[in-house]
Amino acid sequence: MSSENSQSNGASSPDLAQAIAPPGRVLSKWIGAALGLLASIIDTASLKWLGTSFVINGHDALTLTAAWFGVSFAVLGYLLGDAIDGSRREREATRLIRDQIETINASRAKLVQHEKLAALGQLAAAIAHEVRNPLAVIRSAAQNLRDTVPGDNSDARRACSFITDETDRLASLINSLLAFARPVQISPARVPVAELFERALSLAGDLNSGKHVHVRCAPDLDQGVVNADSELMCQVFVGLVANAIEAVPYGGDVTLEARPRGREVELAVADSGPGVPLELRDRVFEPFFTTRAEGVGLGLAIARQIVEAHGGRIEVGASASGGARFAVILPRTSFGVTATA
Amino acid sequence: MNARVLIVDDQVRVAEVIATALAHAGYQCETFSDGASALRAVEERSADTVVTDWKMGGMDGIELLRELRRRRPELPVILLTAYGSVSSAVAAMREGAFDYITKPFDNEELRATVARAGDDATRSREPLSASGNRQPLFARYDYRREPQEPGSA
Repeated sequence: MSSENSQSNGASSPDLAQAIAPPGRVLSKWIGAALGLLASIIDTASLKWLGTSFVINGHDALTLTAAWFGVSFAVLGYLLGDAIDGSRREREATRLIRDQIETINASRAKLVQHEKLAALGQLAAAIAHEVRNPLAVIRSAAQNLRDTVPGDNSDARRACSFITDETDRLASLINSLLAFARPVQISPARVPVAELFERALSLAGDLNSGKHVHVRCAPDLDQGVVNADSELMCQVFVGLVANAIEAVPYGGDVTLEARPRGREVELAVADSGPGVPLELRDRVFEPFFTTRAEGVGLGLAIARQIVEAHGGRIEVGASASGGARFAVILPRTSFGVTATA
Repeated sequence: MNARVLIVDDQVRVAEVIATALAHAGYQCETFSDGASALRAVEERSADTVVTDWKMGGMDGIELLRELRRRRPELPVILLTAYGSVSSAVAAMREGAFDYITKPFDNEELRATVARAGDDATRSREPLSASGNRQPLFARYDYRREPQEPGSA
């Protein structure tokens, strides 16, 4: 981060100097002088044409007057051009300084965010141990209590279930925090796209019980191979498919797509749900952003971390049916899609 | 005679709830707050399974596991940890743990794991002809991911 800043700052000095004193700055002055000279010629010619005579002490002073006009107008044009240059330089310098300030502020915000996340990581790792131990006691004790409660005491048994369920929710939160806070380490290997999708669909299959969502791969699926960490990339697609299943109505559609996109390859999950509103599309990948009552808001943030660790990016747009379409875009250079023989 | 399980955790309440959970399934349990005491108990009395926390003051779970593997290789050791990650699971299994459980745990899963450990230990004491051609324990719980070079099929 610091090197990024220093690079940015280092590059700013020549830019600024160039903006304040641009190479073409002398042009306006001389254009002004030339225009002034031209104006003086036109002015003198007009006066002559109108019949004005230029006489000094009985001698014709046309040449002298023309020269006087020429010099005066040229100097005036030069000064005007200089003033225009100055104003332009000032505007450009202001714009560049504003841009530099914005860049520095963005870098600073990024650094602060990075530091916050690093601190969050340390905090999450430190509290995980401290929190999981009491959670273990609470959960196990609740189950032990349930074992001893008579079968007809449904209230007590239900209360025990509440305790174990809520303990699981807290444990899940801790797990998500740790997953988000840990640096992503990838072990890339060649993974057939179809195999990756098949595995993700298999793992996400349990989530589809009761909703009868049609989850499938697109018929024109690119039968290629991506170079990726199979486990982590599978985790991304299980999460995206799970989100899609949750978003679509009963009997809705979730489609996995893969296609080359210029120098990149795009793997996407499209659904027939309500879609992600335009104003939320930039925010859905932010940590702790969620629209669900019980969501932690780390799933898509973790997905973004994993995809970025692969040198790619993740985007959300609209599917053909107006639902959401989450696309994982991986660079072809390191994640080339190659046709399978 | 009921199987004896030694439970080691410096968080006394954790050891206690585990003991209760296992006692409900008929196990005879003894709790310890450190690895050294558990090691002495193994020397002095019989034990069928050891359930130990990983991170403890003094002798930690991995050190206890190594010592038990040296002195009583047939005794199954189940590691408990509040630091759940694939790498720690791999480390535990490489050291020869029977299994690895993360906190908070489900009592049913804990009991099932202890039962499997007991069954496995019983089979390991039987002659090979009776138990068949068994795979080594490690192979059953091998979480290792073989590194693959990019480009290798």
